[in-house]
Amino acid sequence: MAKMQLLNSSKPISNFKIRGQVLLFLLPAFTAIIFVMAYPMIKGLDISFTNRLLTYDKYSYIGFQNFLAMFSDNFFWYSLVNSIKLTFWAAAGTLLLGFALAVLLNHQFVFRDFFRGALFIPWVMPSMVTALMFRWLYNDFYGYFNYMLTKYHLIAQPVNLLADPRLAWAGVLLPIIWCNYPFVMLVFLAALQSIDKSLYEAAHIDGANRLQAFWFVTLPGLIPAFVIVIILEIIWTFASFDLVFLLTRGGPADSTLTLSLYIYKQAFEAKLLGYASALGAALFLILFFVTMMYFSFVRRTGFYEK
Amino acid sequence: MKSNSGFWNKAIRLVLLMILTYVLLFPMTVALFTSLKPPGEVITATPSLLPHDFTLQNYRVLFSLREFPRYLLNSFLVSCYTALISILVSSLAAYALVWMNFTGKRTIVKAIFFTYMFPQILLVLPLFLMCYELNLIDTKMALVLTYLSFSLPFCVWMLKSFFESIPEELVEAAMLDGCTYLQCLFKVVLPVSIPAVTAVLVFSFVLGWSEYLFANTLIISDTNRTIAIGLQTLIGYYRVDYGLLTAASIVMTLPVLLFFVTVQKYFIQGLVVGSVKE
Repeated sequence: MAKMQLLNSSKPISNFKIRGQVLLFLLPAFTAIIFVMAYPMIKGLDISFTNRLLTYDKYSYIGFQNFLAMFSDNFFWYSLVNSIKLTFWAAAGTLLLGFALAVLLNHQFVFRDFFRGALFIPWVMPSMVTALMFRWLYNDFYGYFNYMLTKYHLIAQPVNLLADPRLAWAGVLLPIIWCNYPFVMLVFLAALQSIDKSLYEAAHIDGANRLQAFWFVTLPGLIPAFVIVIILEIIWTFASFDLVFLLTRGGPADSTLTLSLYIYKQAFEAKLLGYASALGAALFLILFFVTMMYFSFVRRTGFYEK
Repeated sequence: MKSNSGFWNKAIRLVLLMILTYVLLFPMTVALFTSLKPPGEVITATPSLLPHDFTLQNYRVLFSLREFPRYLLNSFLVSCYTALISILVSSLAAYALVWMNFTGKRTIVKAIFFTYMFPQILLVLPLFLMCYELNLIDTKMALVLTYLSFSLPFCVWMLKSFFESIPEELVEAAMLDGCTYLQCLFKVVLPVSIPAVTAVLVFSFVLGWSEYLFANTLIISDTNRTIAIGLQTLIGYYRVDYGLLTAASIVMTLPVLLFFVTVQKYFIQGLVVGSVKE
């Protein structure tokens, strides 16, 4: 009887026996996620209402004082604007580069897999190594970057890119784009390959040239990929920490201080754990909003199954 | 005529790709060749890309440092534990999500994806406190635990999309033969999912190997440092010696690249399927 049911249903049926099994299968993952994510999240929110210090165990609840202090904290607004600026330029650069590479790769040729693999490498590079390589490139005495620029007379004097408050932005932006473009490239490549080939034939029959086909067939087909990539890039870059911290530590003169670096500094340098948690809550709210946008977009276009 | 324009089109494409690949991989090329230069060639105002004398001197010095092999071993242990626990836990969860019916499945799938996008910086403060309260500060266990929070969501997600491509008949046949769910997972599903399993293993290994923020905040003593923090320590000790530092970078990157090359195809597939599902 049970066998019959199994045969007839497309998926195994649910009954109380299976329910026990489900629990057994999901429990380890659940425990782990609750223990290392859900509980810390709640704890973080809890701390944001206290005046807790990093090095002192006694603390008391102070209501919304941290959040009120945040609104009148110039550094909060300053680092928030910095984060937005960085996210904008990083997303723009990553999208452009990733898209260009995807278009170039979207044709059958001999070395295609080689190029795709080679171009993907920056994505798997450890952030520590990326930071070190770029610092070496930027080095003002022996680095390649300055050597090239002075050799071709693009600049007269070597610049210390990461030590100049006006230029440090560019110095941070380059490696961020460098390690983010591969993901964008892959998503666009997958999206390009999923465009129905018959649409191009139809466009050709209708007398469209290559540029028109690109404009009227390729681009519209890529819109979902565009939106998804933009939102994911915003989420990832906005809260990114490693590269900026390793390259400039927010300096020089706080010129590259982003919100996540400000949180880190408040917690581990100023030791104001309560206030840092309140800043974290603000960051979370912003990202939550963006993530909800992502989900609503995905639901509307039916990008995910079921 | 048509094939002719096609040829030029292809040629231009290839040349463009070659230039871009060269430029984009340039930082790594410089690092690799710097590590192979003798000190005198590293510190020069007119650097050449290729070393005049190839030498492994930097690597010899690196491995003669007492702390460096220690860093490597620490990273290796942390990464292995992370990878093994990840695959065990995530394959169970992914199996339940694909082949068992229960209420709340959609919510769980969504929650998993939500956690996958969760930024590290938000978790570092409370996790630091938790580890402090549990007396786990400065232990490798703390690192493995925290890395699970980032590897698990992705691993479940990736395995789930792979399991969905396995024909249902296979699982049903095993069930009819009297397999329990657990036997079915280990004897039928996992053996046919070797590519996805490898990709997940590699992903979580590499994550543990290269993670910086948590390793930096949770580890205090030099004996427990992982390679990412070790590299930072080397910068502090040997500030100007970029020959040594690039050599250390290459050593740190090598296993990542090696792994990546072996599972490239499945890894890329899984990544794309994970974010753009058609």
